[in-house]
Amino acid sequence: MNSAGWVAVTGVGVVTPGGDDPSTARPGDPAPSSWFDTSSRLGRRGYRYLPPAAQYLLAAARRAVEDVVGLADVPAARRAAAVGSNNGAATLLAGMDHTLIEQDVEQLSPATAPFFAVNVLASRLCAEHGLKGFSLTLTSPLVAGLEAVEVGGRALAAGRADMVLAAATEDRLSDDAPRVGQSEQGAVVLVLRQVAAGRAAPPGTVGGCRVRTAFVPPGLVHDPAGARQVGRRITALIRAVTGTERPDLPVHLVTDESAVAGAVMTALGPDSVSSVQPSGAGCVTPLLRLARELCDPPRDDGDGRSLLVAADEGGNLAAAYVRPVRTPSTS
Amino acid sequence: MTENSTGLVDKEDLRETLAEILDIDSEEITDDANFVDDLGVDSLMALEITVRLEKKYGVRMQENELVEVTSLNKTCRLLTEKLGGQP
Repeated sequence: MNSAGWVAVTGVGVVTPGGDDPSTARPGDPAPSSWFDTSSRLGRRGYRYLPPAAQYLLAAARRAVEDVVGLADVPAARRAAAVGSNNGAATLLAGMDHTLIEQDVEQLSPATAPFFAVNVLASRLCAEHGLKGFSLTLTSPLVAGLEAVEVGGRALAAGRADMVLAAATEDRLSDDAPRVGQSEQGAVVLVLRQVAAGRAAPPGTVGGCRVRTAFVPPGLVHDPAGARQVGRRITALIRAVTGTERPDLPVHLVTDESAVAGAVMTALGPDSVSSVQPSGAGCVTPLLRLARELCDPPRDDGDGRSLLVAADEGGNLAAAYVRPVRTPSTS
Repeated sequence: MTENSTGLVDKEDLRETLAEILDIDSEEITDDANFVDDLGVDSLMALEITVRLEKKYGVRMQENELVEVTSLNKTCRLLTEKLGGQP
């Protein structure tokens, strides 16, 4: 395996209603709104005005960086953020809609108004951790968290940053949303560092990964030739991250019950898939699975390396090669 | 009328309201603590204070009056004037 696109993960932070341990966390757990106490998790002085997804992001980031070695040595201009979210501002926007319809614009809370723009979710994260290199927000359904890792890896490889916080964060959908029952709550944050060819991995590395994402028009799957095209696309992603189309690795699939998922399953070969995890209405589950494979790989399943594949009904695809080693090799 | 009340604006009630808005202990809001310099209020929180006080007291604050919302005492005085009392 060459080092192109390969990133070292030196910190992992998870916050979900089902717990904060990557191996047992569950973002889809139905939970009372009190599961996250803002004051005890983050402190006072205005944190409660942040949308819940921004609060989860901050809490997960604090956990991710708490044991990271050498972070203080990275200048602010060389630190960056790539944050994925599908529904992080959904409930806030629904509330704003209600206020505008039933009252008027002057009744909007000034402290929460800026968050109508989803890319503001990461603003406090950047301020708190001095991330002045860049801040990107990704919103591709299901794969935005993995896409954040991909984009972060590309930025590190291009020399645009020396450290990237790659994250996924979601909040519960509003009660009248069609997929409210599949809501995700919580955040996952990975601290990414570059692994330079021929050099040792950064201190404290918990593992490494390489991620690629793609989009295919979902209508393709309605005829056999199109479905095969979707299959070729996922195969190309797998080749891009592992170097081969049929890697001898456990394959974990995060997906739904759509026709796209069926085409991906056919391309992978059902016998090759070790596990299928239902996706939620958000992008936390795939990144959480990546974190789990990094931090708590199955002990009876080879050397811990695995392939994670995600696909959704909208044609969003991702493949991630995960290598949970203390010092990932780059060759 | 006590020194903590003008009859129209109860200063202690205003202190508690501001503490709730700013999410800090009311003890931190001394009579003359500067909202920006001492309590870390930024422009968004200043607007939040204004909107919440307008709702609570049923007044409208003009833009040129917002510069007066810099401490508990000054805010209390401004609200009292808006409500037609003697500061």
